[in-house]
Amino acid sequence: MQDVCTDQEMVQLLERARRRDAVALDRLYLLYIDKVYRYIWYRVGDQALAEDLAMDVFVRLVENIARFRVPSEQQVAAFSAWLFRIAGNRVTDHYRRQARADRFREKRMSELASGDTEEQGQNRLERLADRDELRQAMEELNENQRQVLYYRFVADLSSAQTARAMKKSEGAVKALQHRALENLRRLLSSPSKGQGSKA
Amino acid sequence: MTLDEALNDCLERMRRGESLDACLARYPQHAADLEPLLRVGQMLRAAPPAISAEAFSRGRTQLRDAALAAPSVPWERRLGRTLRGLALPLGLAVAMLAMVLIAAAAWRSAPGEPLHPLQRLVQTAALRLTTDPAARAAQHLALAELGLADMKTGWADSQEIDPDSLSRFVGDIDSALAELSRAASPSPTTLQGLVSLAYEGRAWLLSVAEGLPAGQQAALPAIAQRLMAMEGWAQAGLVDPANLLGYVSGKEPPALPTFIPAATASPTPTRSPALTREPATVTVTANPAATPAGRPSPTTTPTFAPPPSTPSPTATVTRQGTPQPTGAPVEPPQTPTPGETPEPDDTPTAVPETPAPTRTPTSPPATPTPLPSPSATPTAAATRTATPTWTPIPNTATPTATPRPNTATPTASPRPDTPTPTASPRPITATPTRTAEPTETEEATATPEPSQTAEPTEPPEETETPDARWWR
Repeated sequence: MQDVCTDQEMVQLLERARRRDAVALDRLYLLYIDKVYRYIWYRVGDQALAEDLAMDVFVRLVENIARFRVPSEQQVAAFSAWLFRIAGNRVTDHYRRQARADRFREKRMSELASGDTEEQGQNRLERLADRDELRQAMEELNENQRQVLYYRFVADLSSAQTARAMKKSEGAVKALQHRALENLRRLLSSPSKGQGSKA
Repeated sequence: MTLDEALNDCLERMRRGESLDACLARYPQHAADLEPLLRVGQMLRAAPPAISAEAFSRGRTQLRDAALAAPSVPWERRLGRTLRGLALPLGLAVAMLAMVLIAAAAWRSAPGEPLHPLQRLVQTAALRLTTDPAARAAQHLALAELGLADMKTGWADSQEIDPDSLSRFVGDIDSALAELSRAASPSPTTLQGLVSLAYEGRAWLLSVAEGLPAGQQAALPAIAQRLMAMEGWAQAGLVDPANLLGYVSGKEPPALPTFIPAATASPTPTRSPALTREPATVTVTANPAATPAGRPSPTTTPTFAPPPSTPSPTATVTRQGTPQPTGAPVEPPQTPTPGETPEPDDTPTAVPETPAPTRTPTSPPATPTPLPSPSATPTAAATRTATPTWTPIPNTATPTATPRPNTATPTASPRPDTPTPTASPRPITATPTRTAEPTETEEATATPEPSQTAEPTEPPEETETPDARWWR
């Protein structure tokens, strides 16, 4: 599923995208739409909202791509970090304008459950509950741990790319991702899932 | 391999499509620890629902529309943006260039010019950027020159001396001397400049003193003494830079004689109703080989004798009494033959008829023998003048003067700016008629009999003494 792009390819792609090259922009979309959407989903917990916000992120990308300037050897990591910042800002803007995330989630869960058979509906609700627990557990992590998991499992960056995006050493990223996964596992396995203190 | 490393390796492999079990098989020793973590990672990847096809297509279309809608920035706007981006750096560069040009112009400005008020500011800024003591000394000296020029300008404009300018002038000379004392190799040029500037300032203050308010007049003697002391230190530094080390440590100035070239003109006062004897100056050639035994009396320690600067030897009045505590008559001083430089062991040619003063100042030191020290550095003198003449301190008209120890030792080299024996005495000499107060006391304030004091009717060349009212 993941499309791979090297730093050198990314340099050329971004250069063309700055000139509003439709092909280059479409290629960026294909490369990053899923990552951006998944990241936003973790933040908002709602598929439709995550999709809408992800679309908005790419419109912002087109408007602001000319301002993106980083050394060529860090293009992939830096572009991912930049795109995730745009996505994060969009999420923040969204919550600022309308604080209705909880209502959205409840509404969506009831909609999804309404059209299924009882068993199908129960399975779907369990999956949704699991996802929600995972999201809640993610919220219990500290910012660095949450960020490293986003980069590694949502943006699908390598540990080296994550290190560049987070401006840390690769060793620090390895240790950080270990602690993050360990804390997340502990939070998910505890009786009060997702209700623990910040790791 | 640590667990961190193993976990990371497994995550990278699973990122490339390898199964969880295959990864665990690679690290059996860590498998128990790795498995739950890798499963959490799998959950993180799998948790978000896939984006819907409808949303995927809609987003793609939106992106294309946005790309088409966003107009390509025309070159005019790009240029405008570029110029706007450069506006701040360009503005800063222009401002800095203007400041540099203004500073350069201010640096060279003369008093009265519009940029002159900035000169001190610029020079002070330059001083703060300088760390080398020798360079700092030169800059302090430049500031002192500036201060003197400002004082002169202020005097010409309003017949007033700005106390701050005066304070800065003295302070800058002091700072220059302090920096020179710290310098690895003090510049002789700077030292000479310091001597000249201190003297020039002192002379100028003298020239304007009469017009000053009483308060400033009262303060001037102390200022003059300080300038004179710094002048002495600078001279000592010229002899041996190591002498300067004592300046900042608060030592007394080194015992240096004041070098006075022999007068070339005949001391012929035209009117001297009370003059009972000729103003005499005992001159001694600064011969390195000269032995102290060959020196004639008086043996008093000379105090301050300003270097001559004008050829009016008739006004030179020298001490006529030996300031020995015993009150013994003074050995008659010699009157130098004009144009001649007597050898150190010459017998004085002029013997005053009048007796030596019976009252001698108490201030002279107990060992008032200004004999040349064997440790003298006559080479310095020898290199400067062929036959420099030393004048025992012509304490002249004011017996109250306390002989300055720093001018007592003839081992010091002559003043660098008056190395020629034919040079004229400086104009700053005390008027004997003003300072010679005949008193009967044995104190240091005792003065010789008026009859012993030369009172040339010609404008006398004052010989400075520490407490002489030189500014009158």
